[in-house]
Order: sequence, then structure tokens, then C-alpha cells
Amino acid sequence: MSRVPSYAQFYLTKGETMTLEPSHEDQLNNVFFAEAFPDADSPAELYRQVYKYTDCGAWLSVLIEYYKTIEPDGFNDFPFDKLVNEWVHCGELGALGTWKDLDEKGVLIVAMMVGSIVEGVDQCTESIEVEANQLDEEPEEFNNRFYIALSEVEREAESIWSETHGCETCAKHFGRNLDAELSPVWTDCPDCEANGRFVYG
Amino acid sequence: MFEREDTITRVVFLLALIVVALDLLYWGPL
Repeated sequence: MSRVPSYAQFYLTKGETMTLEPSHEDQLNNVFFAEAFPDADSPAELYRQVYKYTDCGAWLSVLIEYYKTIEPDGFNDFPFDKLVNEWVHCGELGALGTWKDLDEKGVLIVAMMVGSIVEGVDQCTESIEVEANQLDEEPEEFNNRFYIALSEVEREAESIWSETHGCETCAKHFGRNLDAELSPVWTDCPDCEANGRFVYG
Repeated sequence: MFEREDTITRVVFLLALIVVALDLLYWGPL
């Protein structure tokens, strides 16, 4: 199909040709993510790795962009395609299939988000969004930024955890009453050896 | 002599154990 818009013919004299930069949407695909994460064949697998190989068991969400067909309603008489963005979270990622499946379905991942909920106290770390700049960076750079965000989440989860998971001896050391409040972990605690305790939410 | 119910209980328990073990292997402990 010609890329020259129909109105352009009025401005071109005979024999003249006109080329346009292909639109960015045509260049973007999820191969970028397959290259950024060679060990994961799908967003769901990436989530599993993120969950399994972080101490805090981080979660992953991805922002997808696709053309959704809007069926006729009171406002429009004909179905039309609308570009929509939607976040897909953790367990739902399995429904997306592999990177390749996404390409076949015409779904593009535009950003990823990581965060964590600290066990026992239900405190959330900040969620960090990593936007994919497919045109401006190499897959490796995206991978780098992604894992930097993940380690930031991990660091924050660790800090929340050590603020709240002190054992009885830690609590005594800080003069806290464990029945009423939580205690930080005492790094020199002889009992838990700075391992803290389980907190049941 | 085992009762029929005992066998069923053991089988169900074993299956549950296998499911938990597989889940832990896949997702890791947490």
C-alpha cells in the first residue's frame, strides 16, 4: 500500500516521487522485549522470574497498547477501532501469551511497572514504571533500567521489612511493646541474628 | 488392614503434597 497520503498528489508534479518516513507504530514490536529479556519468552515468565529471584517477591505489570474495536452504541452507528492503553497485572499476564503471540495479536507493550508488597504488614513499596523507548535505546539498556528499578523496589522492601519485623529481643532493645506495635530489626540481636521474625497480617 | 477411606485420604494428601512441591519449585519459596 502506498504510504503517500491521497492529498499529497495535488502537490506533486508528474514524475515526482514522494517518500514519507514510515510511521513509528509500524516499527515498534515486542521483539524488543524478547531481545531485552532473552531468558523469558513471555511477560508471564518474566513475572515468574521477577517474583522468584527477588527476596521481596516483587510483582510485575505491563502496559499494553492496542486497537480495540468499539461496537456501535448510542453515539456511533458503525464499529470503529480506538487505540487504548491498559495495565495488565501479575496473574493476568498469562493471558497475553508470548512476545510473539502479542505481535501476532497486534498488541504492543509500552511500559512495565514493578513493585512489592511486604509480607505481614501489607505495606507497599513505591511502584516504579519503566517506559520502553524502543526508538531511543537498545534492548540491553531497557533491561538495565528495568533491573535498576527492580533493585530499587527490592531495597525499599528490605528497608520496610527491617523497620517492622523485629523479634521480641529486638523490641526489648528498642523499648517497644510487640503486642501493641511493631519493632525494627536490631542488627546485633543475639536471638534472631538480625533475621527478624514472621509477622502475621 | 487399611480401610478404603484411609487409602483415599492418603492419595489426596499425596496429591496435595505434589501440588505444593511443584508450586514451590515453579514460584520459589515466599
